[in-house]
Amino acid sequence: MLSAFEVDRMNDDAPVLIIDDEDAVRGVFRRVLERAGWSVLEAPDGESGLSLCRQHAPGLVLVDLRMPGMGGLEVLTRIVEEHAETPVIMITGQGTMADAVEALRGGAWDFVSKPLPDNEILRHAVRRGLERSALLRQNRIYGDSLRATNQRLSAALAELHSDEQGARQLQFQLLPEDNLRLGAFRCERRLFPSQLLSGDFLDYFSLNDRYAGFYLADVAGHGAASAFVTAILTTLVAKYRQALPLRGDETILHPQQLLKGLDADLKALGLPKHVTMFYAVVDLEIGHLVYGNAGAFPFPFLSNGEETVQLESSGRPLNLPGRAPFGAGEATFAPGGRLLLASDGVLELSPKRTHRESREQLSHWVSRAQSLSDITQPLGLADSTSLSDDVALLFLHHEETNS
Amino acid sequence: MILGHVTHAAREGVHVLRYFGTVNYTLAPGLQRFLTHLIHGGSVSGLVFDLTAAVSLDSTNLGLMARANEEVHDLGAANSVIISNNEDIDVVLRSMGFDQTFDLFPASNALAEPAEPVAATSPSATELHHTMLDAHRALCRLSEAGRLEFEPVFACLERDSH
Repeated sequence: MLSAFEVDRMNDDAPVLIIDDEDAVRGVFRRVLERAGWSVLEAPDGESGLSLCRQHAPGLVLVDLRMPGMGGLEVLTRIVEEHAETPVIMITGQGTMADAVEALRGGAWDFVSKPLPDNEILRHAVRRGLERSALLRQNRIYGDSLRATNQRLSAALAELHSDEQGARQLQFQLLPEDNLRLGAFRCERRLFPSQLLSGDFLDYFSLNDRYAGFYLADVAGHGAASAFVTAILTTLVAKYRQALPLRGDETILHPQQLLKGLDADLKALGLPKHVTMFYAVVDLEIGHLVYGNAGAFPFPFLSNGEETVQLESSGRPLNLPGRAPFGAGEATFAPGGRLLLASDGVLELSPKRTHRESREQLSHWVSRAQSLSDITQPLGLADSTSLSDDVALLFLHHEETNS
Repeated sequence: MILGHVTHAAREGVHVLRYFGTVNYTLAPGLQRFLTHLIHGGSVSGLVFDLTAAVSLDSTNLGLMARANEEVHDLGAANSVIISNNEDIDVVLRSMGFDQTFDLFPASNALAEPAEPVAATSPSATELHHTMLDAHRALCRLSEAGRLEFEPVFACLERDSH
C-alpha cells in the first residue's frame, strides 16, 4: 500500500497535459507551467490528447473547449469516463461563460480563459486541481486500506468466534446429562454464561451403589481463561472419582478431603485464578448429605417440606492463600426434599433487590419448586438473557418412592 | 452505576485503600501491580481496606485482597483490616472465610474512638490494630477537612513508574 507521502510524490511527478489546437496557446501555457516546475505534455486535438492520457496518466489535463474535430466537451466526457480521478480544467475563450458552466456540469474541475489575464491564474488553478486530486486519491487509498483491514479483522473475529463456539460446545458437552436420575434423586442443571464461555461449572455423578457426588464451582473472572480452569477442575475431579474404584482411595467420598486435594492440585499448577466450590456427597439410601464449602455463595438452599434452610458453611476458596479452613456440614435430605445450588451471578439478576432479598426470594421458590424451571422462569432466565455474570444452577429433587 | 475506582493514602506505614462504586475485574490488574509495588517496597506495617463507599466487589478483587493480606502477614504485619457497612459485601466476605484472616469492622465502630481495646490475639497485635484504625481515622478526617487527598491508585502507579 502507498503512504500518503508516496501518493503526493506520484501526483507531483505526473505531467500536465495540454490539449489545444492553437500552437501559440499551448506554447504560452507550457512555459508558464514549466517555470512553475511541472512537466508538460501537449496534444493539438482531442483524439491524440486522449491517446496521450492513456499512455502517460497525467496528473491534470487542460482542455480547450472549442476545437475542430472532437470538441472539448466530448474530450471532457471521455476523460471523466476513463480516468475519473484525473482533474480536468477547461480552457475557454473570453465571454463564453455559458460554455464554461456547461463544462463544469459535465465534470470539469475549473476553467481558465485565454488569453490568460494573469499567469498566476493558471498556476493557481493547476496547483489547486492537483492538490484536490491528491486528496481524493489519498482518501480512496485510505478507504481501500480501511476496508481491507476491516475485512481482515472481521475474518479474525469470525475465526475467534467460531473457536469460542467450538469451546462452548465442548464445555456444554462436559456437563452431566440434564434430568439424570441417581437413585431416588432427580438432577437438573442449567448453565447461562455471560459470554460464550462460562467460568461457572457444575457436575453430578454416581460414586458407587450407595453414594453420589455433586458440585458447583465458580472460577474468578469470566470468559475463556476461566472456562479453561473449569475444564481443568473437571479433569481433577475425574481423577479422584477414578481413584475410588481403581485404588480404593476414598477422597471423593469426603468433601473436606476432596477440597483439600483440589486446592493442592490447583496450587501446584500455579494458575492465577481462585475457585469457589461447594461439593457434597449424598447417601442415596438414607438421604444424608455431607458437604464441604470452599467459599461458594449463596449457600445452597435445602427444602424439606415447607421450610427451606440455607446450608451456611464459610470457607476459603480453592487456590487462594489463607489460613481459613474449608467449610463443612451435614444435613438430612429427606424424600420430597429439594436442593438448589446457585452461583453468585444469580444474585445480580434483580438489580433493585439487595442480595438478602434475592436470597429470600430464591428460598421461597425452592420450597415450591417441582423442577428447575420453577426457578429459572420467575428469575427470567433464558438462553438469550444478557447477563453481567455467569449463572449456574443445580437442582436436586429427592423423589418420594412408593416402595 | 458508580464507576469503580480505588484511592490510596498512607500514614506511618499504614496504607489505606478506599474502594468506590462497583469494583470489578477491569480494575484488578492495575490494583495488583500497585499492591505488589507497595508490599515489596517494604514500608507496609498494615493494610486497611475501606469498603464503605463500595457498591460491590467481584471475586477477582476479593482474591486480590486475600493474596495481599497473606503477603503482608507473611512479612510480619498484622491481619489486614476491612471496614465495611454493606451487608451484601459482608456476607460474601464471611462466606469466603475472610473473618478468620482479616479483622472486619463495621464502619460505625471503626470511625468512632474505640471504648474498649480491639479484640486481638496478642498485646502487640492489639497495639497494631489500634495504630491501623487510628491511621484510618486520621486520614479520613484530614480528607474531610480538605487537607489531604486520597490519591487514585492509578495516579500513584503512573507517578511511581516515572
